[in-house]
Amino acid sequence: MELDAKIGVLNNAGGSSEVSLNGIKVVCGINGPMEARPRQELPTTCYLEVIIRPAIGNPTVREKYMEDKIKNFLNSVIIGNLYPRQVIQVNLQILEKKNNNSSYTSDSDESAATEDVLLELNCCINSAFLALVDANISIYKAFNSNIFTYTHKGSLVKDGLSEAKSRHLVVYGIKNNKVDELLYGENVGRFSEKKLFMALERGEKESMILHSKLKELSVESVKQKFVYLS
Amino acid sequence: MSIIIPGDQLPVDETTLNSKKLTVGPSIYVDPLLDNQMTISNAGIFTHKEKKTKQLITVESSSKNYIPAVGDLIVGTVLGGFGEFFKVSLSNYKPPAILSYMAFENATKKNRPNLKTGSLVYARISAYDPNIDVELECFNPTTGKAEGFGELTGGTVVEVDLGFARYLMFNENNPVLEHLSKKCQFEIAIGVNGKVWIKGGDLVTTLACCQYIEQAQRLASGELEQLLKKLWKQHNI
Repeated sequence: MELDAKIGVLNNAGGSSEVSLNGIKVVCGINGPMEARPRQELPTTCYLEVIIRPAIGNPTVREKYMEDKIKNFLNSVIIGNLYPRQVIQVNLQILEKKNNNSSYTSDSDESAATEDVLLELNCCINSAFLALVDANISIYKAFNSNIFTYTHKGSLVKDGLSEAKSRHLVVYGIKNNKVDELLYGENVGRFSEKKLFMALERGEKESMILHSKLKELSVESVKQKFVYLS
Repeated sequence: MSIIIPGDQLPVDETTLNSKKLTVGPSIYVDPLLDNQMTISNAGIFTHKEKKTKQLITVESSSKNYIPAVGDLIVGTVLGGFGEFFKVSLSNYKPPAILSYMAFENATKKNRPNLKTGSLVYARISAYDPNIDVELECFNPTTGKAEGFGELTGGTVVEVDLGFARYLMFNENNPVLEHLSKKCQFEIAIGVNGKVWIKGGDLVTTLACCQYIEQAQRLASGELEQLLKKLWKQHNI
């Protein structure tokens, strides 16, 4: 499914974005860097607070798990030493989640829930990137996330919704217009090592394609910010 | 206008950068761990200026979040006093800056400046280190004169994007204020912390000026005149 995004949707947040992808819609608001509470304070770097609110109900361990994952890799992307003893708050609210009637059918049938996590993470990560750029927080590199699926016939497709034997979430960092490194990966299902590497390889290519799209959006939003110069 | 975002390559090649003495402006991160490699860390407008012996690269990026720097002129709100200092807020949800009682024109131990909680000051940032309090001063330390700094009485404050505040401040002939000056008399103090204090002849003019500045940041310069006309008509001035 195609990515659809808007930047700067929340007026009172430092930076914000709205992304819909694979039937999931997320709004991300970033506040900060701002004064940290004493127990959050880190002497040399910034403290990241990631908050995910689900589409329905209250946050559970599932959301906490996602928060942790996002926080861990954002920590390696944000230039923390520019904001010592401050806190940067990343709020992610899932607005919409189309029920994809559990397409996951592995032998072990672990749970459709884990697979949903991948779809949501995918959307959250892309939306966090756009919001970080909008909030003007310094980052080492650009990043984006793609999701790949091995169908039962064994072919690899860039899709998060079709029936799957395994799914792979791949997040690459981009620096100097080139793929720099793998920042984060998450896999669900049954797959061999070779298949994983094939998915990662495909991810490199797709991530440059997605990056050019995100770049287009960011450039447009910068133009909007500097409209008074025209 | 060349716009770049994080993940892009510097639009200037390395041989040009090595040819003259280089100064690197904000939004370009020089990584000490990667052999002083330069990467673009924020999205904005890239500029490269060259002179005979030196050159400068910067990325001008706009945000809503102010990070202090020495020499910045700011509009702050007095939050109260402690010991020999005023606490001054530069932006919300940020630790306040301190302004010494002695950092005013003609101030002595006995002749203390009288600022109430909530009053506004125009000040300069005299010391900044991310690990300690930001220090302000309301006079020129070499001459001891106020030179326009000090309490701002009357008028009102508009909050604008930081990029727009810098644009107003560093472009003397900017069309935004030029159009306004043809319409009415006003006093203005622009803080690069995104706060603009403005005072017109009377309350209605102040209100109109205020709305004008706020809305001008979302318009191209061609549309300013129309906006002015609309606002002035709306307020019956």
